[in-house]
Amino acid sequence: MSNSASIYVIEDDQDIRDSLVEILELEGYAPEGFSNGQEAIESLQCPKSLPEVMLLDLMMPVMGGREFLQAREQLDPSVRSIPVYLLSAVVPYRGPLEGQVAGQMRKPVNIDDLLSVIERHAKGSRPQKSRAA
Amino acid sequence: MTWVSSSATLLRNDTSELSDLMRVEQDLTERKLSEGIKQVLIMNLKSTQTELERSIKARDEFINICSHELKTPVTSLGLQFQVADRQIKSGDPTVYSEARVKRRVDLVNRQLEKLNQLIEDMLDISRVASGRLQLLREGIDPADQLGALGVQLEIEVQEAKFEGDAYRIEQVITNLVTHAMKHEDGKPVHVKVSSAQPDSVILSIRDEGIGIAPSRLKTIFGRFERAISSTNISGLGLGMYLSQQIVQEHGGSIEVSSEVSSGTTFVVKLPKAPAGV
Ligand SMILES: Nc1ncnc2c1ncn2[C@@H]1O[C@H](COP(=O)(O)OP(=O)(O)O)[C@@H](O)[C@H]1O
Repeated sequence: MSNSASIYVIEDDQDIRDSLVEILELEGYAPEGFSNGQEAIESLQCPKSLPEVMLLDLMMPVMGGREFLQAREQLDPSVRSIPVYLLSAVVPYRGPLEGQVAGQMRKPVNIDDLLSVIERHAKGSRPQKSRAA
Repeated sequence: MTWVSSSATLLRNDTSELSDLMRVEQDLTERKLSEGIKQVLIMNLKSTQTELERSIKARDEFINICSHELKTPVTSLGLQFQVADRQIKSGDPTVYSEARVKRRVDLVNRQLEKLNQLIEDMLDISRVASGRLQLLREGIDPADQLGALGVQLEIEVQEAKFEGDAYRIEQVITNLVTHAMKHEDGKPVHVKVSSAQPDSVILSIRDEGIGIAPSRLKTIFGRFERAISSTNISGLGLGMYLSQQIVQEHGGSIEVSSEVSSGTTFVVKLPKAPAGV
C-alpha cells in the first residue's frame, strides 16, 4: 500500500487518535497520528511525503488547533494548500483562521461523513481495496 | 435596609440576577442617604457585581470545558462502535478476532470509567454547593491510603489515625499526590504524615517540580479554576476546590505554598476527631 494517500490525524486523545487511524487503515489509507500541533508542524517541516488531508482537533496541549493553523501559515505554500479538516467538540469554530480550514466536523464524529469528506479531498489516491459496502 | 437582604440572596444563588443588583443600586441612589454612606454602599455593590460577573464567566468557561471533556469519551466510544459496525456489515472477519475484541472491550471500559469519573465530579460539585456532602465518621489510617498509591512515605509519627470519611479523605490524598506526581518534573515527591499536635493530624505533600505561578496560586482552590491555560486541557479544574471543601467540612484546613521551578507543598491539617461529622 505504498502509494495510498497519507492522512495526518492530529488529536491529543490517544483512544480517539487510535480509532481514527484504525478506521483509515481499514479503508486503505496511510494515516499518521500526532498528539499535538507541534508534532505535526515538525513533521511538515521535513516531510518525506506530504499528507493529502489533515484532520485537526482544536483543544490540545502544547500546541492546539488554532496555533497549528497560525504556525502552518509560515510554512511552504505546498503545505498551506493541504486541506485541513477540523474535528472538534465546540464547532463551528469562528475565528480569524476560519477561512483556512476546508471544513469542520462536530464530535462525536460520524464515520460515513468523515470518510466521504476524505474521499473528496484525497482524490484518486486510495487503492481500490476494502470498500465492500 | 433593603440592600442587605437583596445582596444576601444574590450571594446565595451566585449565578443569577445581576439585574437585582442594578435595581438595588438604583434604589440606593434614589434614597436620601447621606452622600458618604451612599458612596460606600455603591462601591460595595460595584465590587459584588465584579465578583458576580467573574464567577458567571468562570461558570460558562466551566460548562464549556465540561462539554469538551464529556465529548472526548463519547467520541471515542462512538468511533469504536461505528468501526465494528462497518466491519460487520462488510463481512470482514477480523472484527471477531480475539485481539480486536479484547482491544475494543478494554477501550470501552476505559472510556466508561472516564465518563463516570466526570459525572462523579460534577455531582460532587453540586453536592458541595448545596451543602449535601454527607460525611461518614470512621477510622482512617492515612498511611494505608498513601501506601495504596505507591508513594514513598516519610512517616514521622506511627500513630496518625484519625476519624472522618475515608472515601472523601482518600479523594483528597489521591488528588494532591496525583498532582504532585504529575508535576514532579522527574524529582521525588515527599509525603509526610505527622501527629505532633495532640488533636490534629498533618499531611504534607511536597514536590520539587514545576511549581505554580503566584498569580495562579491565589485562585487554585477556586471552583472552576485551572492553573494552566484552557488549551492545556487536563481536567475539570474541580479537584482542588473539592479537596478544600472536603477538608473544611472535616473541620480542617489546607494550605499551599509554591515557587516556580522549585516545587509545591500542600499541607493538610485534620482534626483527629472532627466535631459535627
Ligand atoms: N503539585 C502541583 N504542582 C504544579 N501545579 C499543580 C500542583 N497541584 C495542582 N496544580 C495545578 O492546579 C490546577 C488545579 O487543579 P485541580 O483543581 O485538581 O484541577 P484539574 O486537575 O482538573 O485541572 C491544576 O491544573 C494544576 O495545574
